[in-house]
Amino acid sequence: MEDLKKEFEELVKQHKTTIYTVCFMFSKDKEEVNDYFQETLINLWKGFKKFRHESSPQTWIYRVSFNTCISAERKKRSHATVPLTMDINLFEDTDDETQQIRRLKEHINKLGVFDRAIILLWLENMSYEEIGAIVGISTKNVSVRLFRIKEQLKQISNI
Amino acid sequence: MEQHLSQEMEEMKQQISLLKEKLENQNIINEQIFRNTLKDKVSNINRTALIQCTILIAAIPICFFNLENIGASMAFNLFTNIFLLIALVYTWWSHKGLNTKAIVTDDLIKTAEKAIRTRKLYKHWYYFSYPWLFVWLIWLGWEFYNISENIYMLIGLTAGALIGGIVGGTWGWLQKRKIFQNIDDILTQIKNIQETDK
Repeated sequence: MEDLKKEFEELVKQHKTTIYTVCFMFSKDKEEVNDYFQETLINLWKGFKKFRHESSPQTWIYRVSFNTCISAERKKRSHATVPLTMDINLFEDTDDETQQIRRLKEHINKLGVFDRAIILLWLENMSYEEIGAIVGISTKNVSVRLFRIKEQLKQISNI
Repeated sequence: MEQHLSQEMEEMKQQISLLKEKLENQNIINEQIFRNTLKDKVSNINRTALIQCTILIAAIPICFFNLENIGASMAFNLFTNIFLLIALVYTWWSHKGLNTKAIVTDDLIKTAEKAIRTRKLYKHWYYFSYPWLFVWLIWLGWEFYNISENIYMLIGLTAGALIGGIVGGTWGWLQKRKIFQNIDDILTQIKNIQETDK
């Protein structure tokens, strides 16, 4: 059991950026990111023992993160959430880089939840097959949707 | 893979890289979070159902004995407790299928469909519970009338029930309205995405 915990800890630390990125893009504020992040960790742990490496760990982590964010509702948790250990605040910092990141989030947040997932996966250089497997659509549909999403984002940027 | 990326897409790729760079330098996860993760037995999704079921299981005997103590009729007592029992079974059934296993194995569309099923069942619950509650409230008034020793007691009991009902009902309605809007939105997206797949 201890080995399993260590393995899980190692996997999560390796992919913490992926988990946080998804939670950040699907949340409204710092508290919600916190909630989604920890909920995702719990779901990852519960599924970890049965994870059979049929997909890559990164694909699996993306799937669980997206599913957690889509299924979650903003609720008051029965116990206090532990704050994440971060020196930066992507919702409040005013440096140029953070503002760029916030602009990206604003644009992506205007998309539907599935389109948000598709564009995020594409921005991470995932193949159309991998994107389709995570979302649950065909490779051809990924291609068609990506075209539409990019057109939509161009319009959003031009407003 | 596209050979030519538009300027906007290039910028977005750069912004995602920026985000990842910033996050790489952060710890994000600390020991406390890991301890909480490893010991948490219930995830948020089923936590709601568990809390509701626990409250309902506790409420059934409490209601039964309290209603008996204040002198309410056995028929009203049974009517109240059958409602609570139905609510208990319905809560369990509506959360069936939406669990951690689904979240770690299903694709996004399947998970969203299961979440929507649960929330739609919550919506349908009102078609049953509102008429039942309507009858229950009228009957409650009648029971208060019969057990009250004087007019002041009757007014007090009725006012208490009315205030509690209005406050609780309004808050519950506002919460559910937001959820139902989300349901409709995601349902539209699923329909849209599946139509593109045909």
